[in-house]
Amino acid sequence: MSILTMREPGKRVLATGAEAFARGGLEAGIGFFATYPGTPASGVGDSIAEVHRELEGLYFEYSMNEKIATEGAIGAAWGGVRAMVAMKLAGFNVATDTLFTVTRGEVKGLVIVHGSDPGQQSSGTEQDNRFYGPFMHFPILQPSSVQEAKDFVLKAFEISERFVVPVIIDAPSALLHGSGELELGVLPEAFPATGELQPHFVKTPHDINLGRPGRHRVMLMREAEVREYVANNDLNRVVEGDADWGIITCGMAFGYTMEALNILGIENVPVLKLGMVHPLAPESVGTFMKGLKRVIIIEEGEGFLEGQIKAMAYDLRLSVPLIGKEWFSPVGMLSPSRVAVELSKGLGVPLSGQFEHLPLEFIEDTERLAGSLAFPSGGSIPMPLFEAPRRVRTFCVGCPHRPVAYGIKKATKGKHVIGTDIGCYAMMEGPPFHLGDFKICMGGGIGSAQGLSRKVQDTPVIAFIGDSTLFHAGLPSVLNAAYYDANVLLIVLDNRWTAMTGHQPTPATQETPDGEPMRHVDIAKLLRALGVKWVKEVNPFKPDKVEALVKQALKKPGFKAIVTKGECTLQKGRRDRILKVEPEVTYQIEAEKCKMCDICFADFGCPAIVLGQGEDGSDMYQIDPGLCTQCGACAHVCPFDAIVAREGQRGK
Amino acid sequence: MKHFNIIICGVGGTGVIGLGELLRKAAMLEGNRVLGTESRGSGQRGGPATASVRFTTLDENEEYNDHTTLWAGSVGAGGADLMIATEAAEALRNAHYLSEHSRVVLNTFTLKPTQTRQEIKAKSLKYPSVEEVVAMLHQLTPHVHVFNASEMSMQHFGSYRTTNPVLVGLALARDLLPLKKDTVKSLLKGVAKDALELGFQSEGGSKSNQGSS
Repeated sequence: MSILTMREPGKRVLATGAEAFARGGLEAGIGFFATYPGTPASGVGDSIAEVHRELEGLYFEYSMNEKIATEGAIGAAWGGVRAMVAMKLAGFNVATDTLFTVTRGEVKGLVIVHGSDPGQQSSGTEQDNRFYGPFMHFPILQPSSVQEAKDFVLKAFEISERFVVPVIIDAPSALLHGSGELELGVLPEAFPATGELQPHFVKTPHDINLGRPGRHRVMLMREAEVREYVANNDLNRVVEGDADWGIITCGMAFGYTMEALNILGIENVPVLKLGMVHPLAPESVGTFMKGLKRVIIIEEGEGFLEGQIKAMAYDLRLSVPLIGKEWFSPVGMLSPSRVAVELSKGLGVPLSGQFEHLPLEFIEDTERLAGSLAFPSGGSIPMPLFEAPRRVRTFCVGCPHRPVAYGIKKATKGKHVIGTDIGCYAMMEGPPFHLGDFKICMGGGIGSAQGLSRKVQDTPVIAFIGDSTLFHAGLPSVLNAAYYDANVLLIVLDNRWTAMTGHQPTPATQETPDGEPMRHVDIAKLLRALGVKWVKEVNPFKPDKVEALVKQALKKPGFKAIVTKGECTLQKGRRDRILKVEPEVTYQIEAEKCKMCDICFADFGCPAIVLGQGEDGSDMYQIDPGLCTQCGACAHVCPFDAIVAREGQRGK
Repeated sequence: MKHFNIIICGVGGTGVIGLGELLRKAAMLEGNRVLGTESRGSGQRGGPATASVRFTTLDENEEYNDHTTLWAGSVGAGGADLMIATEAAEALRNAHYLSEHSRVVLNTFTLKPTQTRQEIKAKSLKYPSVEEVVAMLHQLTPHVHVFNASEMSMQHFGSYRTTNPVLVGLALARDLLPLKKDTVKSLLKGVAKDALELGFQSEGGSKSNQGSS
């Protein structure tokens, strides 16, 4: 049974942070949940997606993008139910247009779980979105543990309703992906299928312009009220100590700090843990700082608390020295080790023996020390003590994007500018294909490719976009490109799922993993309806066909599109296992025909093609039957027809 | 009060995330306070994968306090009591978690990455043998236990899918993992239960325990 639907208050369970946020929403009795999946926040929505059918009255959707999810939640809140959304940091940028107008006393009962990503493990940028708090004037909570992840959702709804303002909860990847113990609270008997239209909304029908003059004052008044509330609330707490210096911290940094102090053997320092990081209450922060000779501010991201606290100290006439980002760089994530090393350097306290064997440069480079669980694609690269073999991200065995990349590369021979986008296909930018010259944000490839094509005449301009990204942010750009007939080839890599983020469905999804048909959108028809005159579909597992089509397309002036239609191999594989579909053929490399030309192994780069040994002990390429998914693409790649299907040719 | 920190490392597809979940659940069932985390997203695409399991065993009537509680899901540098490497070379990438007190459970399975044309020509891919991995790990800790769990799994169950239960069984039988076999077994299903027993009963699993332990 899912821990989301357990009706055992007081029971302690093991949960991820993502599950804890979702459970918090359910305990708060939400009637509406919407999300666009984005790592690290996707687990919150996915947890609810798994159970929402059992919870009558709760409406759930994977919205087309974060702005639509937020707008839907605002509408549901006006309809009188508690509403919740979850999104990653970049998605929050998308939703800001809407959010800027609804922090002025118009919406209550709305909580946004904001997935942040210090260390940039799965994000296009490393950015501290807490700065939107003072900009838009909404309260921000920062939980420090899996338990607080759940508890703060309930607090956030209380604050949202009391002060008529959306409340943001910051949820870093370390918390969302981390596991810990969770004591369950009470789940409501029922979830609200309907609500009552909010009175302020009904009584003032002229009130439709939400950002109108006068509301600015309301917004600032609300913020002052929240500031007063937090001064007298248990959201903040102090770990007592009698040292003459202190620490102010928040979020994950609180736990890292406590562990770091333990590593350093420091037990007497007072620590102020802020649960609400915006707005801050001068009463609580000022009282804590009074009498201290030095205060160290430990937070992930930029000096968000630091700036506020320094301003506050000035107003309170406190001359206590404040240390923040000069010790703890805003770059990368923090960790107990990193905090311990920085504190040890700053305070002049010796490090404990557990660091002894590490070379000095490892200790000096504390970002590296913290990036211990990061994959070497983001900002924090774990550099091993010993030389470890390099591993490059690659497409899964049987991925439809690999043969598409192979076909495109053969067609353009490197003469192209490619605007790529957010999704698995962005991995084409790496070896062996190197297809992708710029990547901005969701929909940014097709957007910028248009301007490029106006000024670059002799190089073909190509834009990539996946199905989910097309629906999220690509459609207005496609319309723009078609309407103004930009000389761009759009390649839509339709794999029918939001694959990279964990296989959430998109409007292009045709079947569930159990084989149930789903209502879906025909992307080629959609493009034609938007005015794209030349649209062709192609089977991605036939790279020769892809190559020919790309060549043909690039001869045509103006805007044109190719849609590659091949389902994500992982989802197809899941369905085949559930429905017990056995492969009809197996692929083998015939030793006598193979010339060891390296094309299938190096240029195509499928991990199922391995360097093995022939019967005479010489090197030869082989297909590992344990890895091969029988996609058949490699058979079209081999110039010597050495890759053959056995037991009936099943072209796929 | 005793803390125990496990770092699990391997490549995508070797069950790193699932093994983390299994050990966290087992530790929780035995009444420990449990934390952990894992790398997400890229593992199945040929990348390195890691997971951590941290738990605290409290003595009777012992209370947790802010200073002694574990807070972070991740294990600190030099902080691993146990490393489980499901792919041998990945132990090197994560060696900074080790200290002279750490124990390493090393599976002999290796998975080489794909190579570019230039790398094939230059023969520039350096991939350490298991013996080389062990020698490097011995610079940090003498407690390196080497097991061919993947081979045992393939031999007895016809697939690599039961490798990790075999590996856990081997580790449990040698007291490298302070959990009870029955607890772990209660969380497994079907053939994985048999795989755990196979590892637990096996005497010949340890292939080249070159260091003292």
